[in-house]
Amino acid sequence: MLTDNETLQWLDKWADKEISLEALEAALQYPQAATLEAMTKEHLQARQAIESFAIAREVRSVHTAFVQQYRAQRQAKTFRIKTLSTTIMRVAATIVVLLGVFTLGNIWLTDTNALYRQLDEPYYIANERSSSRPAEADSIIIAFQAKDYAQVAQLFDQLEQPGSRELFFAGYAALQLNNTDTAIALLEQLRAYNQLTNTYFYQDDAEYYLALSYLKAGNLDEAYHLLTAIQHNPEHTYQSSIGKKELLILRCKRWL
Amino acid sequence: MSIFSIAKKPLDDQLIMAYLQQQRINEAVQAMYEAWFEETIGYIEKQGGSWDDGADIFQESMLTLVEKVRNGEYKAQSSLKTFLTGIAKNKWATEQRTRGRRARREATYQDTHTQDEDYEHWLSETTGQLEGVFGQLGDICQRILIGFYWQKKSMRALLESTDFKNEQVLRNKKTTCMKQLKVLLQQGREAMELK
Repeated sequence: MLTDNETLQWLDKWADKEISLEALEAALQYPQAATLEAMTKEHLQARQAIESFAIAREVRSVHTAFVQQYRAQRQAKTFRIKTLSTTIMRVAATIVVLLGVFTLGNIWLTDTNALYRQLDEPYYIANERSSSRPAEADSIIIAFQAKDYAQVAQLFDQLEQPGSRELFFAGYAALQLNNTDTAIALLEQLRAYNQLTNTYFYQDDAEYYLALSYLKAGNLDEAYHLLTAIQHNPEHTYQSSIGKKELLILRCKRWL
Repeated sequence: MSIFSIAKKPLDDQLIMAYLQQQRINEAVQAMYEAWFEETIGYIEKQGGSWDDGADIFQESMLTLVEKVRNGEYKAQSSLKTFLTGIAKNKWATEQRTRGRRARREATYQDTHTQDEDYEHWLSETTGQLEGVFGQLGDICQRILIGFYWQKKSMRALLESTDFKNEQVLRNKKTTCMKQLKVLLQQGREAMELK
């Protein structure tokens, strides 16, 4: 009678093709054909199962290591892209903040006097003389051309019936003399006069210098509204004199 | 070497097959993973699967390929890559059908049949059955049987890597393990027949 160890050894020898089926049959002491068939079949299946399990284990081991490495590299790649995009976003944000700080600083540091100087344009008139006008009127023109604004104001006071031109010159002269209240009053008067007579003499000039008078007087709301209206009117004489930057500064100054 | 930097050059099918026959499974499988893994995952994702689905399908397909090459079912009528892709497509189609059936049944029976369905699914996987059988055998039996029959280690070499007193005790243990394995496989077959 064979031991289990011996039986297994013979079956292994046969499975490894070291001995024939007949030799196995003899070694196992001639069991019944059906028994021998069942034993050999069962043994081959067991060995096949061991092989399949071993292969599965090796494939799984490769799979686990590969997937782990793959995920790590994918994460590293994603991280690099993320880091790069974060850096770009940070740089962009820094630029935006710097621009904002620069703009705000610019607004903060620009006082209304500086803004006034940026917008102020000297007004020039061509030489003209008319015998139909009173002598004081001609004198005002001469004084205005000579930039003798005190003389302009004085001559204006002597006029009994000043026209649009005299009103404007007097208003402009008052502004140059830092007499903003008088400048505002005269230029507003000119606008009212034009409206009343349905004329537009010196209308554009009056509006622009009225805005500057308000600006110099510190009435930023009125100055802003007038300048905005001028800037939005493409037919206005002074439209190109006002930039968006000046309007933005003035707008912000109103809030500060 | 980085997985992403590996050139997708065609593998030498003859060499891979030779490796598989010589039991250099690790090297062959590693090479195939590096060459075809990403492409297969891409296919599964395009078909509506997740990345994890793709990875699982690739692993199962690889196992099938190795077995078919080793037992001579692969006749080299197509390249190994085409063969593997075909296996993966079939497995994914089957998986989708199974999921569809399960979802419909769950909707109808409100989850009452989920366990049966899962068990059925588990049984249909040869790998799953083997995992169960060898799990019951235990670690020592696994080491002895795999060492002797797969790694072709001698009893002396096996003795050095285990805690057994002598070769005779080890031989007895190997015989016991083999008997247990045969019993478990028989039980598995009977369970399948009963199903």
